Amino acid sequence: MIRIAAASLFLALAVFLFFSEILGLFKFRYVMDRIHAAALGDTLGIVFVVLGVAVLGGVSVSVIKLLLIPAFMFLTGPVITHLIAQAEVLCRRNQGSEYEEEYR
Amino acid sequence: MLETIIENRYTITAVILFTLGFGNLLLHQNLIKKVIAFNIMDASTFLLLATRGFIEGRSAAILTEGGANTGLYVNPIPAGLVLTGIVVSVSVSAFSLALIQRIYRRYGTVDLRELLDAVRKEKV
Amino acid sequence: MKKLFSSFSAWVDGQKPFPLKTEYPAQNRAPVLKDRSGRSDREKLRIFSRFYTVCCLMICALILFALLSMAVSMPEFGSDTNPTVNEVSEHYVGKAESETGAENVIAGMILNYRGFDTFGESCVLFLAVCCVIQLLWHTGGSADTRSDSGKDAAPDVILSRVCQIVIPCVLCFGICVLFNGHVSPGGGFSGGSTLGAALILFAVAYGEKDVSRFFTRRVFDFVRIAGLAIYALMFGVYIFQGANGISSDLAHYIVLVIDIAVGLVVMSTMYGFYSFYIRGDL
Repeated sequence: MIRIAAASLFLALAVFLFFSEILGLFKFRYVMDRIHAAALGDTLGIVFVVLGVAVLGGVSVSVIKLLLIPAFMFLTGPVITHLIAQAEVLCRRNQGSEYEEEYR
Repeated sequence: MLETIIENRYTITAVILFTLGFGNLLLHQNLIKKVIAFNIMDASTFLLLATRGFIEGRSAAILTEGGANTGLYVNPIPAGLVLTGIVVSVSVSAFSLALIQRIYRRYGTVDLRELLDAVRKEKV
Repeated sequence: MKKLFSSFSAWVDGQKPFPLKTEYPAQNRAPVLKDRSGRSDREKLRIFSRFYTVCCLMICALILFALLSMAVSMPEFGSDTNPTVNEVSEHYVGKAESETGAENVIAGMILNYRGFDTFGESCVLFLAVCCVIQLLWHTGGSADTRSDSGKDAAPDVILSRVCQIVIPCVLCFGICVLFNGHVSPGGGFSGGSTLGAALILFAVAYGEKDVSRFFTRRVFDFVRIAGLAIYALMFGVYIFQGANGISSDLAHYIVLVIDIAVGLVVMSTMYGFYSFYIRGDL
């Protein structure tokens, strides 16, 4: 019983995170803001989903294999974010129109 | 009412996804978004097909040490249909994206209304 | 009338397009109806787009209603008294290992019992690649002629370093999925897609020159055509010898060979799609 409660708590949190990610994807107007929103689901969202499913499944070989998925996402997610941001910087001619550039 | 929804949850999800994809296909003016909507419709069809083969209490159709006992495995036929469907979906998406790239090279825009304008101006 | 006939015969001979209205003198054309409502084009477009949105939403609501009423009246989900659970699926599950040699019942089904379906699907894939090549192939430089298009950029350091770890893992996983297609979930299509993804990642991270050293146009054509030809030959035997023409010992090896052929075809197809979209050439 407590297992189901914990699993549903984790999955509900994951649903909330994915919902905020999609809300941010639709509402932000600039690419760099949307990248921040998209990273929500790829990091903490996936971790909560995997934790919830792992709590339901108990300790077994398939659950340990399941933990490889967030590991892979953590390895490749930041690289993808870096490439998207790089493409945006290279392709947009007038950066200053979207945000203020700050020189320290 | 709620029981029917919970009992047929996969079919209803597939139907809602299909309608969302179809609405997006009609309403967006950007050609690439139309291709994405097409893929959403394809995904909903795969969901519908793949869940029709499920039988309660049985596991996937990979033969384990239990032998070829037919009472242990789900129906494998809808999964085969989904495999074919996925490849056809990929082929259609690839071809339409190639067409869109040629359109962009020729007219400089991917928006449907601007395209129709440009084509009409060209014909005159 | 004579002018019509002469322009028609010129069109038949292929000399010029058949004119309908443009070559007639202006007096013979029907008078242009003036717009009585007096609205400008922009207003008409706005009214039309609102009308179009409303119509689309109504059509979607209609489709949703029709499909939902179908969905709730389908046979019960997950019960084994469904009409779809009949002797066909029992035969497939029961006889798959002895007749096709595949423990993965679905792989045995799509490559042996329903092999012609998969053959048609491979033909569809082949056709799609041919169409993409026809549309996008051009040599002599990229279509992007701007100086800052980034095609001469050095490979990214972060990407190169991470791909040193990721690409071997993806390649190993793809080969494992491909070769174990007949005993575990996987098979030709998923294994081939994963291998194609590894190739694309390699091309993005380290430049296309390294990949085109071994993946030339000739290799690409050979893999595609040989894959489809192997498939056609094997199933040609089934056409001429009958459904049980190949003895079941031989059938055990056929599943593996066809799996690998399909996997190589799908891998080269995925990489070919990427390469033709980006550069127009392999």
